[in-house]
Amino acid sequence: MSSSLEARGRAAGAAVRRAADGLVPDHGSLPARGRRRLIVMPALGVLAVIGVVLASVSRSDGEAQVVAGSAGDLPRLVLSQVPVGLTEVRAVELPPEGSGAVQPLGRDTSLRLYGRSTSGGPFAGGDLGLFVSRGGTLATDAGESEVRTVRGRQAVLADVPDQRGLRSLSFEEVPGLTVVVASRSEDDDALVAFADDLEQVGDSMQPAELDDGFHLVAEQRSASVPEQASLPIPPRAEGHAVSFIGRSEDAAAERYVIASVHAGSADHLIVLRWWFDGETRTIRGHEGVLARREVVSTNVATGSDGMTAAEVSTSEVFVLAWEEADGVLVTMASRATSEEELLGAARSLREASDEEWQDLLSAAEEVPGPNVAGGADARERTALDGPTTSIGAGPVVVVPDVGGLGLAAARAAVAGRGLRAEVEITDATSPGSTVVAQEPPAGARVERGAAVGLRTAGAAPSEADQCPGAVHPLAGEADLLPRSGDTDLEVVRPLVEPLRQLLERSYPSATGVYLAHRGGQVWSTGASGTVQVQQVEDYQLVVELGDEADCPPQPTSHGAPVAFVLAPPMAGARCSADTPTGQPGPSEMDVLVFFSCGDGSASSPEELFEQTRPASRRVVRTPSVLAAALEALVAGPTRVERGVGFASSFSSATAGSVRGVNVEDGLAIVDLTRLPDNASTSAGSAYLLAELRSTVFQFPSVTALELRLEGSCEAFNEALQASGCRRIPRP
Amino acid sequence: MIGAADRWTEVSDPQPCVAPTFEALYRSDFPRVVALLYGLTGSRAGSEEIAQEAFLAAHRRWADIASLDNPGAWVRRVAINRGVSTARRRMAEVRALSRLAGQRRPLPERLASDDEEFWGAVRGLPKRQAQTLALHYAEDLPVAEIAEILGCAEATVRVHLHRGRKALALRLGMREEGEG
Repeated sequence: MSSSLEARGRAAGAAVRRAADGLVPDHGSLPARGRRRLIVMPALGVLAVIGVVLASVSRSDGEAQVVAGSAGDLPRLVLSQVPVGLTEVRAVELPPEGSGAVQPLGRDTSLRLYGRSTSGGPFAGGDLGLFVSRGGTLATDAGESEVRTVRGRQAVLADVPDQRGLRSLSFEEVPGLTVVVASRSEDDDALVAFADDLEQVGDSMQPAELDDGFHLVAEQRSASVPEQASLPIPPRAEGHAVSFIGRSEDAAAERYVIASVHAGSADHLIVLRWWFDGETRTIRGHEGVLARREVVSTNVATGSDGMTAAEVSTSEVFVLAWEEADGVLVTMASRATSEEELLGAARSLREASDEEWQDLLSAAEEVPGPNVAGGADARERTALDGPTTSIGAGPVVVVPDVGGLGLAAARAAVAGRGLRAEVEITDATSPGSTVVAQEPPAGARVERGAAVGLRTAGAAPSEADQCPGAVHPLAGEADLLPRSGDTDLEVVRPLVEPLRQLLERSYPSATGVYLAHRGGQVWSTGASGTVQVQQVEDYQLVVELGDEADCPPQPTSHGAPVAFVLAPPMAGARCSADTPTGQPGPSEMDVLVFFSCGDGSASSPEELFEQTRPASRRVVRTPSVLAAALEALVAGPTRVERGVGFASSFSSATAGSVRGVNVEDGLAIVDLTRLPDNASTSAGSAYLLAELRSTVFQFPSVTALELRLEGSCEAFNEALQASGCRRIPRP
Repeated sequence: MIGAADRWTEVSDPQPCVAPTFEALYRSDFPRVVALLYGLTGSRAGSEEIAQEAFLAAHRRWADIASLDNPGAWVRRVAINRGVSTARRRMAEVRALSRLAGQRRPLPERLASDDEEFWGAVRGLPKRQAQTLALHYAEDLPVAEIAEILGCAEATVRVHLHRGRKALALRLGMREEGEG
């Protein structure tokens, strides 16, 4: 049977359209882990992007959910919608306290809360909180404090940090037993008087008698202490809890949502309302509490240049809690979300099936816990001290399968699970050594910190031993490289050290090994030397070897610095810059600048040009939008943008180098005072031109572009190793 | 080039007008963009990924894009510019993540389409021709709109269509024109 091409094409087109038609039901239907999903929630009018990396449940019908819930008799609640930008979800069941399996979420503390009876709520006439904790203190050296004598002991009077108007008095009753009295309504003398009248009952403290109309409003035994920079964690003593955390890829702009389902009473809500001065919200038909506060966090990062930088950011933390059913509390916490986003996520809870639940837990088990890798990321999460210490990895971990892996990769895999590698090396000289036996076997459950024995067998020395440039030292070590899905630094970081050791063996003169998180640094490593790009699995390894093109420096014979930059491709958010939030103010405007987003595949200037991607800048409003955009362009991408794959020769070194911008009859003349160092290289100039063209020609009224250096078009082209003066036409 | 919002106009002459909602565009165009990308990449998951990214990009700067004459064209341009290499890389990522997460079930890679041979031939064409033909067949768009998406003249689109069809017919061993 013969048919015309046109008919066949139209039929084939209709077929794929029909097949694609079912792809967007109400809540989105894109399957799979590790993928960004755009979800339209009609009920809320909110858009959500879920990048479910590791712990979603993916069913064969393509539905995927993020699950939150709890153990024991508590309902397993499914959180089916998560705010924009959260890309990681992890789950763990917290065994009951006393099992010793996890650290208690809070210190072993009880809290009694007293209020004066009036018609306007339990605390309208006055409030008094009494914390008794073993091993902790609320006394703080932050802010002004005053020392008083209470019960013959020294006590500290101070404002509770970050809590509106909350004043505290803390002292150590006996060594190891700390008592804190806090109130918004009572003055310092009343706090001291209240403390003086306390009496010891067993190993706890209680007021002998209550006066001034105070009565006991709420009591939490074994409540966690809402310390400075910590979230109020559900009480542990009365049940189990499961928490899920979603984090953004960008730690500096970390957003998260945690949902915990736990046993507890309405007292927990009262405590929460008091401590955070919370507001009442109706959630899922229940009256709940919404608390909010500002959290200041410092993010310390080490750049590829070995320099460390600290970023201080402020974000709002929400805590939302309600009694879902009798004795069943749900506490959700989020950072850097809007209140609506959190409420929307709360509304999306539904009960999970057993199958989903098991899938979720086993998925979480596969993942090295965030606390394993340590480092800066672990520190950042002190704000979540409680749940994160137990998320992702309990004390029992699964031994990974490292058979056949290179030794370094095997070590990293073992370390990634929080285990110790004990290596029996049969041939230490070969970087290609592979693991031929392991003990315990893969899949075994062992305590964290346990040793895993690895036995290696040497592989034949590679050609790299003769000339490392001829055969890449990693040629046989693809497993050593992070997988492209491993965009999380926590996963990647354990790989760096073995990698460094391996490369140092091959390149003894190397000054360092740098792991560029998701690209961006490839083209900024320098302009002078030869750059070799090699494809290793789906990672890009760039080795800069100085002046010697064919054979890299031999041991001791060469002093040139050698740098290695690993530029893994992006997962998900490659070259997608954050847009400034909110509308620009009256004196502001947003402009787009275009930076390179090359993956090394571009073979022509045109392709480079097409590969540029926009980033947004909020700038002072000016009539010359083009000039503003160029000013922003020459300042280069931000660190965060480089982190997500933007690359540019422009950097802070070229900031402020726009000398003049003039547009006449469609011809834009852009005059710069200096160019990036690598502008004279072919790659450098191609990137430079691609970014300038993209940024200038985003404005439709510009039909041609002339670039000048210090007023001279010839000088510009000469700097780019070209000659003459040419006008670049609109593409 | 993407993101060509006309900022000259915006700054000098702000025009209040009723902008289409993102949600409406997403609902109506997402499946079509996936279909288009599937024709170009042959990967269902990769197509959905790129379509997602294109829409995400649009969502991020919706304030700019909503004022364009044809926001859908913007999305398609972003989508096809990300292109085949992106799809390939995405698939590697999905596989890696599946491996990492211990997920056993691979995703269905094919969108139900019984003419893989046809799309395979389209993908074998030079990039611009393949894009033009995919917009023509998978999206069933008029030449003017294809030109807008590709950012070139209508005449250029016709040339691509003509050459692409010729090459396709040759590869598939078919006649170009209909039987009448």
